[in-house]
Amino acid sequence: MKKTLMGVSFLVLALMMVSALLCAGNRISADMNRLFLMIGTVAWFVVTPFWMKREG
Amino acid sequence: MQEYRVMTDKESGKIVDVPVEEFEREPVPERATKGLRSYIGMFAGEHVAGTELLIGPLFVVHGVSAFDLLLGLLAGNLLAVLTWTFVTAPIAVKHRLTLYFQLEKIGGASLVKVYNLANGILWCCVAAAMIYVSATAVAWPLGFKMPGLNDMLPSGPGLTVTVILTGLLFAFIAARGYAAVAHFANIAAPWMVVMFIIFGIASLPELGINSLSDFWRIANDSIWPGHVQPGRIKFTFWHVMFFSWFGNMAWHWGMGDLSIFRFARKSSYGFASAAGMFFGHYMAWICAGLLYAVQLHRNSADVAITPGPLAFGVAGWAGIILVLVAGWTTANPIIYRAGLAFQSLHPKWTRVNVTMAAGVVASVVGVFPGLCSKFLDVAALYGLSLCPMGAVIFADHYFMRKLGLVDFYAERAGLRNWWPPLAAWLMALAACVIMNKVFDVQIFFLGLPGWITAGLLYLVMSKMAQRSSVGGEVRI
Repeated sequence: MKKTLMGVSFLVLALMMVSALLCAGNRISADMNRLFLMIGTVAWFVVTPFWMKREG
Repeated sequence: MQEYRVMTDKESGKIVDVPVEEFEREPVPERATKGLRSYIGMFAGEHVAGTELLIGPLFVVHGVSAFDLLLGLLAGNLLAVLTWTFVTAPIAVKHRLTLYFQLEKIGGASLVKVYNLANGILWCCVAAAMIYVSATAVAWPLGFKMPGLNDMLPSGPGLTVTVILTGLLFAFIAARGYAAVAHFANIAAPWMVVMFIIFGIASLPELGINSLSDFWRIANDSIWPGHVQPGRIKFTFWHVMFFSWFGNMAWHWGMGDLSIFRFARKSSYGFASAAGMFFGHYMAWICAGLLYAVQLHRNSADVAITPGPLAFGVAGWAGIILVLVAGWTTANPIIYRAGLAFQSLHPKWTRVNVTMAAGVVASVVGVFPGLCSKFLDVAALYGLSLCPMGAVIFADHYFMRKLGLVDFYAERAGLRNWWPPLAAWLMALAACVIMNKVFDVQIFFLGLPGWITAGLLYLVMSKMAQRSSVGGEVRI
């Protein structure tokens, strides 16, 4: 389960990068990119705490 | 400084401070050492902070050219990594002591108190900049007036109140729930690194960069065109190199990271600092500069450096969240540590109250935007002020015995106060002031002369003082 969630988190970061690259290549609009970044940010902070445990 | 973890007492339900086993007054044992991965993660996370959003644009304001910036950052960050690896880490791994305990052995408990006072004040100033950065992310969506580039005083009541409330909130959290925010900072770190990269990528089309071949031309013409803003000095390759080398001077030349590297299995782990210098500083400062270039591209008269609007312009609300989180997660440990530094002056003060007081000081300082528009000078001053103590530790470690002198003199002579280290510190700073005021040496170039002066003065004064000392028995 932990590995799956970790995979989801890093997939979210990768998709955010892809969104920015598509925006840079004029494949999607700047507004669409901003929306994807916001969705990715929410997804990262929802999923990551489930696998990144507190140290100590 | 003793670190604490805030926990809930199971029986009473009260929040209590529990000392963390940090080996404050003993060498770190072999069983507690950490591997290379811990260091890579820590450096990568710690060097992507809210203040990067000030530093990147300030390079543009100081009229640096693209060539000077890219090469200067490369050279300076490389030198910083080498300094951590070959100056700081070997001493840390040899003794495995905190900076504070090592200073106490050399100069006595009184020296540590003076150091903590200076450190606490400087930390409040750095925390103030981070509070300001986060506050711009809150104040701008509310429509409050933002300060201009050269404004020294607050731009209006809206931003002033926002900075103070943001600072007080950070201080309250630092005082009551440091561990929770530290965990949140760990969660946010990879996302923050990616967001900075996205800032850079998403800026490109608006600047007219559609291919690699476009980049160099537009970098020279539009991003770092070399125009100096009025009232600023022109930055060259040397300014960028020395700033990026000495931006963290308090931690490497100043030996602040003895406390970190004493847990390292090998001194070569100093190379892990490359993760922070290149994924953090190098990349983040360039990407923050691109954000500022977008703002100037939209309105060339809008030269203000306000991180909230800068980030929103390219990344929307995710950018606003980044600014808020980047300021918060880095201001939090700094306010906490400033509180511990002040508490060490008077152990009967409660940590919660002292941390709140440090937060109030940082909030009041953060109200003044001049601190942030001059942040390069503030960062250089921070490193310069503390680095002489690193020179004292370096000289004590490598040269005292070779010169027939006694190292760790205060401990061996049983003294609470041994004057040569403090005198070397103050005289080195005085020499730097003279170099600055009389010989016009800019603050960015004073770090190394100040460090060398402190080391030499410490050796000379130790030779004089130890020869004439009639103090107690010295145990070698």
